[in-house]
Amino acid sequence: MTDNGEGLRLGKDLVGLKDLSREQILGILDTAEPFKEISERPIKKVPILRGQTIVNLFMEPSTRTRISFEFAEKRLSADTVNISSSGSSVQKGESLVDTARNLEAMRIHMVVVRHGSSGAARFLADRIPSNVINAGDGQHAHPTQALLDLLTIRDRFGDIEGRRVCIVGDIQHSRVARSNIWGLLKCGAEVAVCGPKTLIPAGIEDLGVQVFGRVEEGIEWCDVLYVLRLQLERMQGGYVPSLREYNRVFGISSSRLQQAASDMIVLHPGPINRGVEIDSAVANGPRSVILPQVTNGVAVRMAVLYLLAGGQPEFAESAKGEDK
Amino acid sequence: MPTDPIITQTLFDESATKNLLLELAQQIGQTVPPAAHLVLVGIRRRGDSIAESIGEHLRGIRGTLAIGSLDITLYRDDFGQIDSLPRVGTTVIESSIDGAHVVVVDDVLYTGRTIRAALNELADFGRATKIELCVLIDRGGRQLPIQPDYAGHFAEVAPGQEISVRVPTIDGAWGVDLVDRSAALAGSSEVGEE
Repeated sequence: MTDNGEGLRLGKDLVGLKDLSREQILGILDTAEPFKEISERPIKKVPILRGQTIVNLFMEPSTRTRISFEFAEKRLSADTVNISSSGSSVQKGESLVDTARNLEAMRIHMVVVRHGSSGAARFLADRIPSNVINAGDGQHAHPTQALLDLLTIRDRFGDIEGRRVCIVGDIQHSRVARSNIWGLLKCGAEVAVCGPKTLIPAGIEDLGVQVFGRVEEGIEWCDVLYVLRLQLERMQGGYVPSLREYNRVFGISSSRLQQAASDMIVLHPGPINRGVEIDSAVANGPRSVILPQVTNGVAVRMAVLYLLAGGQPEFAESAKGEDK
Repeated sequence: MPTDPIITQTLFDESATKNLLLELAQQIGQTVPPAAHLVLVGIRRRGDSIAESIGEHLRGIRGTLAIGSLDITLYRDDFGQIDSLPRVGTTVIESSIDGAHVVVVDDVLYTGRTIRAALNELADFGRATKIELCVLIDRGGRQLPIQPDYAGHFAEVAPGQEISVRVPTIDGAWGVDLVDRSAALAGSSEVGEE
């Protein structure tokens, strides 16, 4: 190991931040810094992943995450293929592993997977030799989202350690919340959650997370207000009486933010339901870092792709054995 | 086995190294036309310090010039073949290099592969009118058809020996050392701790 952070290893896959150490998480953020500049160049492309083939296997709808991964892959010169559940053999009943094994038979290097079932990314990672990156699996994890959020917080405050982050909304069903809680706690932030009691997981305090019943308390307490999207199907599930009721009690409006610290920032993973969990004036306002989050998403994903493509310890070890 | 098999010999001390930098600046100042838009681009992590130093001298010799730094990690030709994943640094090129007279600056010229990578990367920042190469030490051993336009010193260096350039921002002071690891490598099969 050298003084400048060389030799950072992530392993074969990125499934969740729970598996990573604080050093690995901060190492990814440090690696993302120089990748920001590439997207500002006249020619937004570097040759490092030339000849690598990456499959974006998106079994759930996604705009931001899929496009962000695709930009990241293309700016590193990888060849990419996009597969979604509609229009592919998945509709004919092909299983996830069969789909992936068939892709591997066509000689790919990496799979970026989005899936509706919690644990799908780990399931796949354990069964194929390609690198697997979790782009969101059920209610389990969305590690690259949390990494771009951490980068955005660090950009604004210089450090994550000691920052107070309050996550508002449907914590129970949110992989974004789960990945952020792991990442933030590992990086030394204080974390609180706030939302309808029906949507706060039981026992979350055991992780070291505070729970606020009223959103006003969270706003006064925090440096970073993380507003989750209220998934509209939650209303049909009976967790929330109505969208208007949710907005009245938990919606983030300009008037609620008057109690906030002057440098407090607002994050949202998108897509936004304006007028439900967040008002337009806040989403477009000076505290909002929603668009910088999107910009950082490309840099963070470039960093993860670079680190996984270059650091395959199992393969590197076996290759060394052959040399000797 | 000797206790310290790595032998270090100083080729240039601080003041001798500073003289090399001044001479390089004078050569560039005499060669580059005064009207040219001169951009010095140092290759990280030591070429950028050398470019800064040469640039300071050049500001006294000729008018304006721009200085940038280039990280060539993402243009390397050995990705996937090296044990340790190199850290990616930031590339900073303030002015466009379209139509510029660019001088690429590095500490040691050896195989030429770093310069090949730097030329490819520079092409992504625009079309320079001319690109030249300036190195503090040329140690021979080229693997590509690349030669310097300005070299502070040519040193014939055997395989197993390396030239180590010290710069103030990283190593505290200027200097050039010849490091001989051949005894150390012969004495053990150790490949490195990575």
